[in-house]
Amino acid sequence: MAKLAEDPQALASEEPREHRPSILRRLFHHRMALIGTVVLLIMVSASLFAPVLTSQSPTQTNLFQTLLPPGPGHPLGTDQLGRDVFSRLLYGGRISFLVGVGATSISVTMGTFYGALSGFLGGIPDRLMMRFVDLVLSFPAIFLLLVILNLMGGQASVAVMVLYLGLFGWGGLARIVRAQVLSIKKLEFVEAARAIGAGPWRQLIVHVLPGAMAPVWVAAAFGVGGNMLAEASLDFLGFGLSPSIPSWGNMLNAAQNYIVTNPIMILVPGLTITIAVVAINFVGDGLRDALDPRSTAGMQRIG
Amino acid sequence: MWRYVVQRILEAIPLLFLVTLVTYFLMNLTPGGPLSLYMHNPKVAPQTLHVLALQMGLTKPWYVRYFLWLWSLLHGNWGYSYFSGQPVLALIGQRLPNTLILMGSSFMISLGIGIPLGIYVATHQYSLQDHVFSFASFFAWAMPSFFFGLLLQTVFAVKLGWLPVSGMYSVYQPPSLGQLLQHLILPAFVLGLGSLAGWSRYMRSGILEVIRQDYIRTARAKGLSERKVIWKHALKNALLPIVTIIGLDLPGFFGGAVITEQIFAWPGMGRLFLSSLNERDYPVQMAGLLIGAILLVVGNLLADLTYSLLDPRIQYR
Repeated sequence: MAKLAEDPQALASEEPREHRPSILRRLFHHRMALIGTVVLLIMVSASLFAPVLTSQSPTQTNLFQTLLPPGPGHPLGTDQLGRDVFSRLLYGGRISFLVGVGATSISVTMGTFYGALSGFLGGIPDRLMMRFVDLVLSFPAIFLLLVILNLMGGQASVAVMVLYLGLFGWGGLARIVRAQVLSIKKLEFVEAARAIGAGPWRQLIVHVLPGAMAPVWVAAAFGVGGNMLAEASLDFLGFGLSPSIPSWGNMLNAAQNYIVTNPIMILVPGLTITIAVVAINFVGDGLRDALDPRSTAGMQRIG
Repeated sequence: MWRYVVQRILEAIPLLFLVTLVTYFLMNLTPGGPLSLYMHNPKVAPQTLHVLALQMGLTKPWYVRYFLWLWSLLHGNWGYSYFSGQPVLALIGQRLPNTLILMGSSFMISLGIGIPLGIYVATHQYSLQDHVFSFASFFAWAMPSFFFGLLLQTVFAVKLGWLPVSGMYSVYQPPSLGQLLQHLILPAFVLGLGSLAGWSRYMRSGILEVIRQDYIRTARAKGLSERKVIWKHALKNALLPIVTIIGLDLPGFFGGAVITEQIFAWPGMGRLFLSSLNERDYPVQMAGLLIGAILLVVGNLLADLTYSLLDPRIQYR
């Protein structure tokens, strides 16, 4: 019966506030999340500091030096147009991370506010807004994306890609946030805020939303990886970014014709994007364990 | 239950209507249009182009064409391919079964390996196998399917020559089931890998969650064998959340088939859809999209129905 005294809730309430492990501390306690963070930091800074790490241009072609094996001057060789693979890899990281983070920021922002508003308003507006989410989610994502990107004829700019991918993944998150808000807005502290005269916006933004954010962060982490993969897949199919943009997807697209003769061309970007997405999902997994262990929000991907 | 199914299908109709309407609009914004193929051909006179446009009905505004398309669809006519002139329904008849074979096999692989694998590692938590599985599943999930596909193709088909590189049947031999299976192995595995990794992870955490509950302790306490506890008592409840995920993933197989079919030159709907995009073949594009949307609706419905089968507390009326 001594076990009863160790009731975790009783202990937690007695513990002084400073001693509760912070979310960051809990996140880094998660070994895989820590490894993921380190790997991501290395990859992101390598692509940010690309001009320092290589003097080669990622887009300069040299038809006298095509398909070179790794060697001095070209640590990872050159591609079919004589462009330096290492340099393309570094600069390509900028594109991939930019698309991943950019698109996810758009969809997470949209999904959070849409879902929060819907849940907070309740009643008929809520039903109408959720009907619209049903509609958005009943679009077969990759097919519609391909149709829309076809308007660009496989020459999309990074901004267009970010926007399109961002306009897709928000529906699922909106549902999750709405459910959270629905349960939180009934709690006493929100009622108390209302009682002391907080307006509806203040109630929503200051009191309800912060409590609903746990699944948002988790979905955001997984979203970054998912969008990076989606972008690479669209590049690979030839409906993505303009081939002149050095992205990992475009590198893979070009490399498929040289997979037997020059396998390094496909292995380098392929393994890099895999490791990047694994690292992101490690962080997402850690975030979930730290913030929201019960949630099933998680890895979603297109294609 | 049938009333519920009918109700859900009726609810889906306005959704499908809006999905097709919006897509039809977007599709028609594509520069060039269906006649772009001939536009720069000096042998095709502008008059001929105009006649073609009239024949295909391209001179009408897009919304008129949409309703014409919808009207004939409701009468069982999916239109004619702008590119080949074949009836779209015939094209679907040729291609959809191939895609369904591919999707079905991948589905079986994901389910048949993923679920038992998840159960196995859940019952061996923190063992070496569990750690290896955890690690591998992250990689399997994160690897772009086209990259994985190309690697497998190069290793097993090109380098080792164990399996055919692409296509559905060999050109040199008469088609047979053995042939089909040989050609199916690589694409089906590539298409199924992501879900295999995902489902086994969900299965693992599902079992781990259920196993801690009182009724499992009771089952163990009354002396049931571990096998019976897991397979008879824990599995059914652990399957619940996974069924939803599987239903939601179903249309993903159709989307993934676009990429897999492209890599392995599998003559299915996905490749048909991709080429119809390049050819501005609107009726074929609409067909691909509509089938994708229907699968989405069916997937969600199946998930909900299976849910009610597994959980007697849920009843649909």
